Amino acid sequence: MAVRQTQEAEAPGRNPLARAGGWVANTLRSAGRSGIRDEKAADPGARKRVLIVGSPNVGKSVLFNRLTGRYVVVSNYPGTTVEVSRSRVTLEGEEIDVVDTPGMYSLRPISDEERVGRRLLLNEPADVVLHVVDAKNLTRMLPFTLQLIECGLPVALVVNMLDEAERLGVSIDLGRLRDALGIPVVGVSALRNAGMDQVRALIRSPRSMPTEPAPVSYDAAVEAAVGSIARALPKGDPIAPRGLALLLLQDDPELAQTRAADGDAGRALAAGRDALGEGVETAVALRRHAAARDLAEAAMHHAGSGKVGLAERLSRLCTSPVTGVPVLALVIWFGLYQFVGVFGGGTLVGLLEKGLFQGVINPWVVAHVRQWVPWPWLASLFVGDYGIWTLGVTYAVALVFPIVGTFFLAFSVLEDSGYLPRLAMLVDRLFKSIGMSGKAVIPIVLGFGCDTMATLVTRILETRRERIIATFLLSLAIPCSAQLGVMTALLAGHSLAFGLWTGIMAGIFLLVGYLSARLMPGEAAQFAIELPPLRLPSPANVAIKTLSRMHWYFLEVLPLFVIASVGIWLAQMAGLFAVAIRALQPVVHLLGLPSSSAEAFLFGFFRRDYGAAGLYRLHQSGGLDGRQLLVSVVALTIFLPCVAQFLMVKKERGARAALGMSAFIFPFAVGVGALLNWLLTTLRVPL
Amino acid sequence: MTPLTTTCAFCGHSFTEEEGATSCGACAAFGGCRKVKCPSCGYETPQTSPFVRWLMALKAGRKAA
Repeated sequence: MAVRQTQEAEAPGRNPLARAGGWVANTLRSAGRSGIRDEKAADPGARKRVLIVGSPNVGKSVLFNRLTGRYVVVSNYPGTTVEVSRSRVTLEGEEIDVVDTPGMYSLRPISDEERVGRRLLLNEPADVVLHVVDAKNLTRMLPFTLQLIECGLPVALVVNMLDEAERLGVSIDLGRLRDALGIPVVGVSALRNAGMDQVRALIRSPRSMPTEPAPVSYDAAVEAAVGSIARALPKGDPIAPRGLALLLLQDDPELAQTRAADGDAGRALAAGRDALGEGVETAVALRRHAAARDLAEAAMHHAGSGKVGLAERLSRLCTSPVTGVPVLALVIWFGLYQFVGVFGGGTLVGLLEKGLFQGVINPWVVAHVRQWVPWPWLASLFVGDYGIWTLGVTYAVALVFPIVGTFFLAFSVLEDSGYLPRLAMLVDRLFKSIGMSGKAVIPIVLGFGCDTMATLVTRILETRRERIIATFLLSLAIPCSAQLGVMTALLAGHSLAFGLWTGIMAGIFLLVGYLSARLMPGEAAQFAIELPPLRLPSPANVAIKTLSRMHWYFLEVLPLFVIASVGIWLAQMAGLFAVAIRALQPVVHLLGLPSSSAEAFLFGFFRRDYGAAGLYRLHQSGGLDGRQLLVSVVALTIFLPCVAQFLMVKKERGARAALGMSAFIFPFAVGVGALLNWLLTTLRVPL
Repeated sequence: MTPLTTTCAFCGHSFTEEEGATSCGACAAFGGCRKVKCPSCGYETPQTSPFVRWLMALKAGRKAA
């Protein structure tokens, strides 16, 4: 048993560890069949018990936290590894036990979580069962409400996320829902702490709300079988005979074993199933879903239905293949090329690197270090060509940081606008041709931030095949934020080269993905997503995300750049640096690049962004023409992102996969670069 | 206690940072990636950095004054 967020100063009687006996006592209490029970009235000594149930991700835990505050015990349900959160609250002097159950979709369990949830519901009767549903998805969730009502459980419906539904233009007529269901219904937004007083009032005085459950009517044959089984069931079961009969008819082996193994109930069940055949499960489920749909349609009102608003029109433009691709091209051109490349890489770097660092700070630092450190070999560690200050800090602060900052700003704007899920919808079909579903957009998009973390995120993909293809493409063709920013900055002012680079990388992504999918045949998983509304980005959200990303990036990259500078200095001292540079000469000559670019490629073996920064400096000094610029940028983009990425691939996909991918990627990068150089030279492309 | 909440930029799901942390149980970088993972779709957003929290507190303090 684990205790989370307990407070020692609390009175001993409220210590959650000391109340196990109370739970047992509560579970043994008998309960009425319909409506909310008021055990407190019947037995003043008994503690009221509240169970929170509902599908995953509807806000049960948030509601639980709102109700209970800090005193939470998390323990595994006996005999399972499924966690159940329990707590005790005091509402106007009355102590109440609250249990947060694992997510469940119905009373017919499929997963361990659902089995535990059902046992808590059926074997440990509660005084109030709060069924939490997502206001945006009532149709999908009300069948469970109807099932809980059929079982005679003391259920109250908590319609959560009302604010999110409102943002989507959906309003819920809670009164109509309450009248139709015949149970208490409250509307809340647990995240915003709105409506929680109503939930507390409902728990405190459950009888103040109407309690006339309205059952679903099934066809005559099902009703006859249900009636026959219900009459034969033993009396005194905490589950209502009608609900129990329906569960038994739907072939529930666990309940059949305990409730209708033999005797009258067993015979009635066998007769009912014989009469109705195997289709009874589907028939019952379909009827319940139809009733839920009717209820939801009557209670939900869509604002402006029939009239398409501006946001919806823009949303359709982003997701339609005909208009979505030009929209994506505009996003890349303005968001990436103009803003990150021209403004970030040109204007900001010019001000910071050339103006401030090269013009003011570095000369002062170099002069003072040389004055204070009399040994040239040691001074070079700090202010030499590859010194900690002149290379590591200057690269990180003056060169990469402004470029990455503008990239993070552009990315946060896109993120907050709701464009990314629309991009996922747009590329879903395309991704299927390369063996992945639109869901793979998540790791791929995150790869533009950090490939290493995105490799971890490939875990969300459904199949091993998808995970391998996504990992490979991340390592091969997706530049991380720093690299993407510096590459874009390098190509700023060379719009044709930028267009060719984008096209070549997209082509490699699709071609290699397509070939990988052919090598590993299989079906791509289905992809479904609920689109959040398209909206104007909130300046506060954008600022928070951009600054947070910059903060974390800076903390990560500065020490690495400093360590790299020290490593290069040591290699220089040992003479290894010159050896490595000489070894790379044939490679850079094959690519048609000057000898001086070997340094950048050597840096690129450790981190692509470090190598890109090296190229940037070389380009600034006029060391690369347009053709060489494009060739070097393409070759370096294909390189494995960094050593951390290699280690992550090894961890996630195994050493064989990591070595295999690396063995392909480095020769492939050189091969593509050499081919591109030959093509550009032969065709005399003006860059 | 007021739970820290976030809304997923990808699927729009709102959740607490505590819920987000439960999605990272099997992650090799648990506690070290400085990201909040959406329990619904898996998309990651950056944790609010201490520097940004400080700025927010500063702004809130000025407003209160």
